[in-house]
Amino acid sequence: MASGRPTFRVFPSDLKAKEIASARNACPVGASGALHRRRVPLVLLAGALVLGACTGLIDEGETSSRSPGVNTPNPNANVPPPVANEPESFNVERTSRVLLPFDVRLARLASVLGVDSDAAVLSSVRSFEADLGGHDFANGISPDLSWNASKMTLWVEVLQPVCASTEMRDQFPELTTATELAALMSSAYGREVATTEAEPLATDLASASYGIRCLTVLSSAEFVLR
Amino acid sequence: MRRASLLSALLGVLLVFGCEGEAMSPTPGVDNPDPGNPNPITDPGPGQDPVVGFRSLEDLTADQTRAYMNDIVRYITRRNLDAGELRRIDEEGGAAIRPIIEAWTAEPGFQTMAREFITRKLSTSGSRDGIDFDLPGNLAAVLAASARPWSEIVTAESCYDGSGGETDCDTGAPYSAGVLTTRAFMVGRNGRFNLNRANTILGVFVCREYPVEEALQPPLAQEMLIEMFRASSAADQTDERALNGFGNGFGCYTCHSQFSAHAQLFVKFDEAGRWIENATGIQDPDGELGRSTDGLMASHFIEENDAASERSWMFGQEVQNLSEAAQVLADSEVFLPCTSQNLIQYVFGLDPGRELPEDGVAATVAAFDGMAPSFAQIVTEVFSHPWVVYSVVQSTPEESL
Repeated sequence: MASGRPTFRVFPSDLKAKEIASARNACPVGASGALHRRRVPLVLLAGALVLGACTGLIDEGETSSRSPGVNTPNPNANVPPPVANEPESFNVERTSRVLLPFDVRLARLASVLGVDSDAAVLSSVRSFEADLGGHDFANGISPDLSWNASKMTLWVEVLQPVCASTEMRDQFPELTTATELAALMSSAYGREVATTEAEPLATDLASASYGIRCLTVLSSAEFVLR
Repeated sequence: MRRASLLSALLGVLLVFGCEGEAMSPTPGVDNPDPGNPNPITDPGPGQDPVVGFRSLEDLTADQTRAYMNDIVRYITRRNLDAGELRRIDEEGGAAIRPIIEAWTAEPGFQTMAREFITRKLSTSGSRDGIDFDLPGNLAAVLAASARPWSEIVTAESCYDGSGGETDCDTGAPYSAGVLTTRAFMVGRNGRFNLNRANTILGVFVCREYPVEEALQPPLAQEMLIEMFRASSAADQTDERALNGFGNGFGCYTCHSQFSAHAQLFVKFDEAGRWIENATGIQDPDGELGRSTDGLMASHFIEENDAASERSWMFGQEVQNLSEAAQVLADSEVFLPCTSQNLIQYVFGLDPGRELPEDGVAATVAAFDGMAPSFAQIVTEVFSHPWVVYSVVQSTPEESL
């Protein structure tokens, strides 16, 4: 994997059709839902989106209208009004979500695994820095922080050895129960994820392998996007 | 009572936010309860500027604080909030912002932030043709790990390798000016008349575009310039090469009277970024307009001695070379506000071309009046400033992918 671009398969090798269906169901209505409605014929694209665009927003009920992958309260609530003579504010307009810088995503992976960013277990990820949005200005490669189908697919590919690693198993021996999934999500997202929040995901991925559970969390929007 | 932060432009006094509010009454900006007895702080009197006020960070909820800190932590120290920080935010709300950010600046990830910040501003990373394009980022990382002034980004006398080891900046010039005297900067900003290099200095470190206010950069006299740049209108133009209004039109002098001063500083740097002592700055008679010979660029100046010399002017001060010019830039009152604006744009992913409210940006670095703060001090001050925090917190969050 580290020596060249990975061979693209329709899905990671350990995915079975049933698991894929589970993963699809684990995603909320959103990017992947829209994709299904458009009936995009590319299975590859669909697979990437199913896994990669899974937003981390795992409850299709009450929370589906909230910002995907950001289960935080509305920060607009109860902000005191500006005081007199306060300079005009600026607005952080986020009309679309973009990838976190490559080194930040790499550092977040390293944190989940309890290793440094230059650890061997992450070599598959580092090898494709330029393809995953990194930069090499000297050679004409600018940062590309768009989250598109090819990046989603590649991200899932390079995460396979990460999810299959002993480092991952050392940190998270099992990802079967909601409590175990919540522990991974908390580590990945940098916030406390309650077991109740992880329960729907655990249910939907009941028949999925360890690998697909790992991939679902580490390719979710909350993990890779800002 | 709330904590409050006051920037006293009138009195020249900064009441640093974090001071206990009990000592500051009434809270700035709150209506004065006794209109017959004006508050000397908020009502300074006829002809005097009103004092700027800010909301208190203590009024932020834990949820708002967490959302804000979660947004910036990934950029400032390249990781997630840890359990201790989340607990502190739950307990202290907005009051936790400043101490937590201050602690981040001691982490290795903070050096990465500095590296990425300057790397992206200058578009320099990697290597090509034997040129180390990481030198600017390396210097930024070294400065971030030290208490040295951030202004050394353009004045440092040494450059650094990827391991942080001191090395010469690589242009071969007999002086240094931080990232400005790296081949990475020079090659990446190559161009006729050295306009691109001059533009970059102004855009990245001053946050200005030509023409800039004359109070900052007085125009050079028309007589100093080659004829085509003396024209202020089509009727003035006497150089046939410019009769059709090449470039941005006919008002050449408006911008080039300022461009000329800054571009001249690069007259001895060739297109490969090497310092060439015997550069003349004279237009190559057989070459493209704006190019001198041997990969060098032409000067704006008409006198041969002026054209060949690095002597020029930066913000109205005469300087002997790029190093002296960089020192003037670093000492100018526009350097720190520009750094603040760049940081805000970088961390919140704003369009680099977007200007932010000038008084707000100025307030974020007002505490450094007369100082040469480190990168850590600047980042702490900017991202714990109520103007920045509230601007972000009250921004409408994105609702859908």
